[in-house]
Amino acid sequence: MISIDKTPIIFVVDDDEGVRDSLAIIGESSGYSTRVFASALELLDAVDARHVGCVITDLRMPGMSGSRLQEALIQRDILLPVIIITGHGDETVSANAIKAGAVAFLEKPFSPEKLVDNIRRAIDLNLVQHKGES
Amino acid sequence: MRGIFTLVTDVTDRKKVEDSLRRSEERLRLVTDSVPAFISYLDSEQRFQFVNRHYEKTFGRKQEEFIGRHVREILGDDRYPIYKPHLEKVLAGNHVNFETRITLKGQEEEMRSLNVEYSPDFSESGEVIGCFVLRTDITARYQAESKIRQREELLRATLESTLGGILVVDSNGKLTHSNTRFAEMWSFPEAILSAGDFEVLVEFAASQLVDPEAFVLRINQLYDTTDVRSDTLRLKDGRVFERRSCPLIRDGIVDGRVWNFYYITEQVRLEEQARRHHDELAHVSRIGTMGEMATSIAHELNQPLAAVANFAFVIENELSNHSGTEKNAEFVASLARKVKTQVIRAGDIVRRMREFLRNVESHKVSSDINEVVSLVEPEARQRRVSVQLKLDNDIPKCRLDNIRIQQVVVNLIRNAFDAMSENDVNNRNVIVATTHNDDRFVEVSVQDRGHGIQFADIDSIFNTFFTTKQTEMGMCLAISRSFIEEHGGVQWVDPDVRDGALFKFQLPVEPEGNDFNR
Repeated sequence: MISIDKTPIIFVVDDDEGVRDSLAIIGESSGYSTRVFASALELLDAVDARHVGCVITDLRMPGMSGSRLQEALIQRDILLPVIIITGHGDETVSANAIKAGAVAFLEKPFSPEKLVDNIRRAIDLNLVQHKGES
Repeated sequence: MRGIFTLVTDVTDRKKVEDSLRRSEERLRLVTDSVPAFISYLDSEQRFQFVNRHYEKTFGRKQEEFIGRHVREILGDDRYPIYKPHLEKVLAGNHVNFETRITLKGQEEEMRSLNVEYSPDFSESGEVIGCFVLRTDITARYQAESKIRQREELLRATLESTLGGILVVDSNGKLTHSNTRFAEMWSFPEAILSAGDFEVLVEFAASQLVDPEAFVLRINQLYDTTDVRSDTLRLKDGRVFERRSCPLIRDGIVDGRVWNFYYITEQVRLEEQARRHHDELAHVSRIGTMGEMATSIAHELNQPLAAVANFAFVIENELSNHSGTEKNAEFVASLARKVKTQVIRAGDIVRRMREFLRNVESHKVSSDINEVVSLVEPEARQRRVSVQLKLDNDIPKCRLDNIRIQQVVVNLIRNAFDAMSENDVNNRNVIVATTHNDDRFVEVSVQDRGHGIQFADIDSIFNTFFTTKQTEMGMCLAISRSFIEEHGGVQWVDPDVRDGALFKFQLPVEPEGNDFNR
């Protein structure tokens, strides 16, 4: 049995520095260790299937979008739950993201409490997933 | 000529003291004969008492045949009346000088011009006892003067026939020539023109200008130079003149200046109109993207707002859970700074948005679509696109916001050009055509020879975020559509065109009798 001795990590992906910074501070003040990335590709270079935690990603970003990142993670068998945040209320994209397994789809500006709730839910879910695997 | 008078005086002496001078008569005759002038003496009865040799040739008589004969007999009845009043005047004691013309009967008839001088001869008691006659041939001078007069007339006619107002000033600042148009343009009073003082002229003209200092400065700068210059003068009444100045050079020395003034009011007005039009076009281009801008600004504004909400949340948590420690105070302060930064950023975004919010009202007037379309040519030229216009000259009028329709055409041309950027330079032209199939709609088409549009894209092509270009967001077509729809028109892509793309739009024809505010 592989013990889940790893500390959960919040992976933040946003091309906007201010938002990225604030997400990291929220994550840390909620008691999680947090890593920030300015693009989806940077994150994909840094994560693998053994990581525990969750991903918070912006939807619209130069290069790879948040929903494409979600697909890429699934392809790589990375089970990190994804929370998507966006500046546009785009219902189609939102529905598709949820269908593809996103934990939450939050529209900016969102309530920080709601984000924290979703973070906890996502991490708990991920911990359960890992436990199930082991 | 003074010498001749001296001779004549000698003749007087001879009359007074005849005996003592008889011996010198021969010598005198030689002298008078050699003078290139007609010299004679008439007594108070108008009879010749002396003539020199030149009379022989002219009148066909020997010198001695004149003596004692009356002037009328020599000149003939037809010519005598010309001389009679002058003769009467000199014999009344006055000096007389007049010009006349005679026909010399030589091998060919020849007109000669003569200057005639009659000087009265007084006796010691003051009576007029005769007169001295001096006739000089001034034909050469007369001809020269006539040539100068002709030139002067030619110059005047030339000056009057030019479109500009002309002023010629000599090096002493004296007006030498000006034409009627010059006087009209500046409304110069006759008194100022005839006085001809350049400084007064300048002062009068300067008083009518928007910038009199520059006007006077330029004159002073140019006055002694050989520079040829032109500048633009704006008058207070709105007229605009172009002033050209070139030096008048005589024998290699600057001997004054020629000033030309041309009306360019209309030309300047058109240029300014074109420029204003261009500015408005650029403005519309900014405004046209406003709808899209609003969306993107809202998105941008959400970023700092989201960040601020997050920071505020953390600050709140920190203050309620860990309040009182030094580390905590420092952390909260750093979060507050982050909030400040994001708020300033949000303010910048709002400020930028304000710059886009300008007059967006649509202004429709009765217009000829051909004129509206033609006006995009300068814009196209600026973008180095060759635009070929195929205009329907019979096209009915529409009620249009000209600027917006131009913007539509410009957008389509711009798209067309971008689609052809990989084409050979010679294969980059855009055809813009106007036509009308019925009396309800006019149609404008823009055709390029670019990469065309994939059939699958045709439906989405007018959606805001569709673009085949990397650089732009492809909003142009969406803006075009909204402008066309606002006019009650439709825009589409011809799906059957394979070689390049054919964009079309239709606009409703203006109902008849709706031209009251044309």
